[in-house]
Amino acid sequence: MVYCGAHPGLTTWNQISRRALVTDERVELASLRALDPQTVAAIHDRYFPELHRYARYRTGEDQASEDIAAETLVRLLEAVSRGRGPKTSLRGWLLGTADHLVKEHFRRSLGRPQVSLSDELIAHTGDPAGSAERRATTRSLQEALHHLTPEQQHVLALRFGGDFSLEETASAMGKKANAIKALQFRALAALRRSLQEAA
Amino acid sequence: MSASLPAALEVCLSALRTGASLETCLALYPDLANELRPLLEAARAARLVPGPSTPAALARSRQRVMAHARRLQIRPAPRRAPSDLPRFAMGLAIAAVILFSGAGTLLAAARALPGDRLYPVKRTAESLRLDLAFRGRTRATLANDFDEQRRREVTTLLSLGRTEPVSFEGVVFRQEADLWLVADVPVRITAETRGAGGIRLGMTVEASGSTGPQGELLAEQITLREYDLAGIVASISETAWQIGGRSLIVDETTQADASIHLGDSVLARVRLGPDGTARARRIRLLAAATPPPTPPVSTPSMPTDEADDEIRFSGEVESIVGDIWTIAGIAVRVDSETEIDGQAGLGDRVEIRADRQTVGTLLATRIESVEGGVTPEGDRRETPAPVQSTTPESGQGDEVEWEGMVNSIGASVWVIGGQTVQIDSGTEIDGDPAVGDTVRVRAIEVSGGLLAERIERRD
Repeated sequence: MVYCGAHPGLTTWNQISRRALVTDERVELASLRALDPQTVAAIHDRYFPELHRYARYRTGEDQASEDIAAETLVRLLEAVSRGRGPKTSLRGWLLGTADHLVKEHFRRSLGRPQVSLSDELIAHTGDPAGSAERRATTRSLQEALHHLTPEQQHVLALRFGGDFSLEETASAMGKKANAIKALQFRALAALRRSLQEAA
Repeated sequence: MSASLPAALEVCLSALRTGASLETCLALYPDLANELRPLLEAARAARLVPGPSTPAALARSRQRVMAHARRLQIRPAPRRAPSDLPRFAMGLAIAAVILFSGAGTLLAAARALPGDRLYPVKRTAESLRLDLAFRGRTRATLANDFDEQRRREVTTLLSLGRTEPVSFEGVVFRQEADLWLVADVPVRITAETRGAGGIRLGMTVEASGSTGPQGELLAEQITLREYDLAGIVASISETAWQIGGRSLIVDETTQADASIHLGDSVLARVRLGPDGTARARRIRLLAAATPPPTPPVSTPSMPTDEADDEIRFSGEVESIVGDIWTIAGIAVRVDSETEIDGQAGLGDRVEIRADRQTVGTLLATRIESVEGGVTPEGDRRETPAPVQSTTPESGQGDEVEWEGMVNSIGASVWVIGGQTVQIDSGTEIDGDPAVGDTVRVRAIEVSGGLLAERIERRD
């Protein structure tokens, strides 16, 4: 049994937590495959905010990001109902699918990101002024991000848009921590070049 | 470029996150400062954390995803019939099928429905797979998959209008007179149906009977499979816990919350086996004993028998499905008597008062928003629509009207502006309102509360 409390005879807290998480996710995935309404609702409510935030960082568009987040969860249902879908990390699978949908969105938009920036996106940057200058800076970032590779955009969205830790990013992208360090290094270098060229 | 630059960058990024200044970070790596500085400045430019999703966006997406889940469940799929042949003989039969007919026949068996010639092959293959699953969790996952197969078989038979004996498991989502909704299957309860007494919303049951051309399962037997049991933890061992006077088996598939101790009040999801054994699938902490006992002791100082059937706890509203609210992972049923604070909704932190029902489910008597909930302060202003609702006012005779936000939508009960109102087939619903919308309600007082005559979306 998975016991998460201070029970004697068990190993470290981290090990217990990891086991509990793995077990929870497996049990949850099994319930999801059954399209159990309560499980579907719980998974939706848990992951929608994160997916929505991720898509807003990548696209800067309110409506498109809401559609992408919802469509990601719809595709999850489609996948599990066909016996496919996530086998290990549900979160990683969802973020990977959201990444794919963002790319599709950009392809449909003729390769150019829409720059109708969400006021909300700007309002939460920590700059209370929310000024036109800040709006311009945000728009520059969106434009600059678009010149990065999809994988570089993905890692920046997770780390700087989603506030993921190095380990969480590695888990979500199915890579090792050192690979993420190298990837984010290249992504930031590319972003700097892109911002400089735009300036 | 130094090979350690990516690692140094990560250290600096971590330091920046904790509030360190750029210069402080660079001072950690003076030799790399010139290369790190532009990268850290780019990182600062890249830091753009979008605000939280609005409740309205969450509700819209949820509606879309849940509707899609329902469509997928309705979609025809494979399914079953009883196996009278001995398992060994059937195993041989399957091997013979594979050897002589190829995998195509086995695939055909996978699509068989109850009453089909190949259906016994399908069921026996499933039994063999279960027998071969060594680990409990794998078995549990497989068993869930097969339960889902049974449900899909029933919906397919119903859509085809075929009459076959079937049995499947599901959660009771609706109970309206003699017609229940178990999972997504309409189940007709008759005077001849055995075991239906005592079954309540939110319980998982096995429904046995026959499908019919009218699109319903005519139930012969309802068997309780899972229910929630609230009680005090009286003992904890590696193989069994004593909760609320009942001994529950625990195994590697049981999920128990952190820091549960003897004397704590908990809610357990109990699975009943065919032989009557009770196994805990999940154990959630409701309230710690006061004072919290130090690690498990053999003779705990327990509160007295907790004759009080009222339970209080608080947590985030994680989902609202029909009449079932899930709060901090605990399913609570609402009915027409439940008082719901007009502000309470998805994502809010609420305090619950609930009564334990005889078989263990929780019936909420009051759900109240707690100030300073889990939603960040800044998000409050984005709460959709005017949440201030007018309280029901006396109309002509026993008719009342009011306006308020839709807090929850159930099959037979809605909560609007904190007021619970019953819905029936005569209720006119205009504008396809969803949770979070503002509506105008006209209702009449009936013996059990309020019955809505008309609900009209206002925005």
